[in-house]
Amino acid sequence: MQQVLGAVLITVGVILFVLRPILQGDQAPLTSPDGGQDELDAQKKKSALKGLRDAEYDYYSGKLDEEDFESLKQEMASEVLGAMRRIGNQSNYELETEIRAVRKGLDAGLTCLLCGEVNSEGSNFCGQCGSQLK
Amino acid sequence: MIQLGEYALWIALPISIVGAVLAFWGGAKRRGDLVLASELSVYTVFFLLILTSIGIVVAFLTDRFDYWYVANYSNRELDTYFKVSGLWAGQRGSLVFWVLLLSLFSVVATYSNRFKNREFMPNVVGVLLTITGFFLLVLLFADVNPFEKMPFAPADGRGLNPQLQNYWMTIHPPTLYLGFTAFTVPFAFAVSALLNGRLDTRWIVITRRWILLSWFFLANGIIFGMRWAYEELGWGGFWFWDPVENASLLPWLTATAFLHSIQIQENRGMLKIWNMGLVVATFLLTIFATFLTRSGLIESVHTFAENTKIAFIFLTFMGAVTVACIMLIVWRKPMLQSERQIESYLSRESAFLFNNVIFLAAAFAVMFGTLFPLITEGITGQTITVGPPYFNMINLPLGLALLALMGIGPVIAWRKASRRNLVKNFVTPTIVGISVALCFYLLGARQIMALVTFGLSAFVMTVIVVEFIKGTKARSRIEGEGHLVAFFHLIGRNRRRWGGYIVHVGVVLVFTAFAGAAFDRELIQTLEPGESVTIESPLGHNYTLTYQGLSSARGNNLAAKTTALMAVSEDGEPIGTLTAEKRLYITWEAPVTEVGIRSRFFEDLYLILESVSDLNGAFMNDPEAQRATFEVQVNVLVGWIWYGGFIITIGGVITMWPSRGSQKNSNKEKLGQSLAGQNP
Repeated sequence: MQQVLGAVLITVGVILFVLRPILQGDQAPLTSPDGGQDELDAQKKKSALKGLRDAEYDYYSGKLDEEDFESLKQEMASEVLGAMRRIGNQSNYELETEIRAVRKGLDAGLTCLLCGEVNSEGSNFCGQCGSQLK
Repeated sequence: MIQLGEYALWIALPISIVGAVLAFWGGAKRRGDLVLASELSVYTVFFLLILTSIGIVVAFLTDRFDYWYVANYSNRELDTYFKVSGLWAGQRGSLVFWVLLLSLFSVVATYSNRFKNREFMPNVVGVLLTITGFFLLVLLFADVNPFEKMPFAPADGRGLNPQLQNYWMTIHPPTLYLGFTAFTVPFAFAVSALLNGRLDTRWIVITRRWILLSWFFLANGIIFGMRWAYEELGWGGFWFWDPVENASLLPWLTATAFLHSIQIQENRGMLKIWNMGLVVATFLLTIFATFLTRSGLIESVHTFAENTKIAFIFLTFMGAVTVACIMLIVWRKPMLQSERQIESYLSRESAFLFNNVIFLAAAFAVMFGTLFPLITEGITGQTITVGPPYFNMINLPLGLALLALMGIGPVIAWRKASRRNLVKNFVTPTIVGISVALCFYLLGARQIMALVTFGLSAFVMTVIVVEFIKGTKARSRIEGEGHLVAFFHLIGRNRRRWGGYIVHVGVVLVFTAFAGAAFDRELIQTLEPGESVTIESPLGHNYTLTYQGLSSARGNNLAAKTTALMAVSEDGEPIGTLTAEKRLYITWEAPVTEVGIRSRFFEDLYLILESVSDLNGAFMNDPEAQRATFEVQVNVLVGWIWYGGFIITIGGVITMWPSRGSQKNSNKEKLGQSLAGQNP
């Protein structure tokens, strides 16, 4: 008798637990805030920046010639900029400003190669992730 | 409690099926309530399976021999921790254990993605619950219900196979099972990506850590299994090319290939179809591993009894998964085109590609050899098995090629490497490699393959060390840090790369250990107490073992055990004693051998009590029954497998360690959610 009661209790409990959202109308989110094209571009930007950093390491550790390094650097910087151009609904003006900042940052070593943050002039450390800048 | 466990198993099946249907349906109809209900089913199934597992363990601990499973895998005197491990000791329990771990990972995957990657989740939950449901179906309808009752309750159980009564029993199977089941999560995300058409790198970024986790457990599980075989099976080897060993190696091979090829997809947007193929193949191979063990189609030390019903169900399932995945990939082919082409054959991409080809070739060769008995039986009606010589012959060159690539890959730059730099980078490692091989040759080693392995190992090690030095210098220069700080930051900032190199160091040690086996020595001798046997180590010294005699005693769960004592001296200097045993378990007819091992950094002295001339007399401590035959081995470098395994573990943990960035992001995420009024 006890066993039957236990079995019935478990069954009812389990069914109610599973069906609760349907009965009460609770919703699970079907999209996530980071699910769109922005996230993809952010990912691309990050991966291009990582590639840039790897190339830099390869160059300094003697795997890449200066010529190859410069051409790769150009190519990857344009990938970063391309991804950034697509991110978000920025106005043209904002976008151009940011791209200019990144380009300048890349030249002056203010763009963080780890997270992509463009830091203000004179920074020694990245304001976003704390890593040391060039 | 036991009945509750059985009942829980029965309701877990409909819950997982309904949950899977709700997940796919909710995803298709964009109904958040159905998706939420399906996610709650994941938690519910896990809860029910915990009840089931507790039920089985309680049945073991309370000696409920009225249950078939307990009666066949336990007895009253069995040690408590072996009773607990009864959960995975036999076919029936191990299926429950499998689905329990699968369910655990499903819970982790569902819970950790409750606010993120939501586009993937309905199908991911659907796939995970479908696979869970499949295993539950097998458990309940393929004559393997662990709660099946005996027609009568025997007074005692038949006991656990003595070879399983070893502490590795509590470690090796769970580790391997964790590896097998963890891979279901990346598979579920891959299928979800195919179904949704979200075929960018996101599914790979999400599942990267899962793939590493599964790989990590598989690697450790395989090495633990080697250690178990070495300690317990008592023939001095660690790998047998047994079908089930092979079955655990297969998904590891494809998972390793996958780990390398996803980097090409992440960095260069190439090999998308290939990666999809690999993730599906690896998942299928994890299922294949359990199929081989459970169907009993191929003889092996690991297999449970033959069960054609299970074989049929598993084959159908694997066939259906294969067809479905191929159809999905063909359907999504236009979205799986490469974004770029390989620019140069001298590039890291192409090194990775070669590595993949070799891993797959090894996987095919191992698969073919494993299935060969089945193939020949199908064609000629006769079962022909292929033994270790076949596997060694095929895998040795492939292994050496992989070893070489392990040294070449890190030195080549992405996209294209210039010949001049390549030559510059290879000079030192090549010189070191050749010198090492030459040294061993001059010292008298003539085993060509072993020399090649030593040379290549030295080459790879040099490449890795130089890589660390150069990386540290480069970082120090780029970031202006001191060398020590730069070294740790170097590893910390790109854990996958540098952790990967540390894993490589471990793999090199394991390869060196395999090559060391070429120098093993062994001899067999029958001795009376007081007599000695001398064996020469390839390292130049002599071991002398002087037989002291046998002594017998009873023990827990043992009818009798007799221990042979040897006094060991090295070049005349006494260095200690070594014992080897014959044990007679109360539930097992044949006596079992326990070996004696004296481990040193470069070699193990390994003692096997082959036979005792009058075993029964010896068990009765008869002073006349002392004559015994021993096998003495010197196993060269075997310990390096375990050291290598330890380094692989360290490297693996480094690669999986969450980065500061992701922690920060998840904190930010939580903050965002709490600001938005949601409870994280």
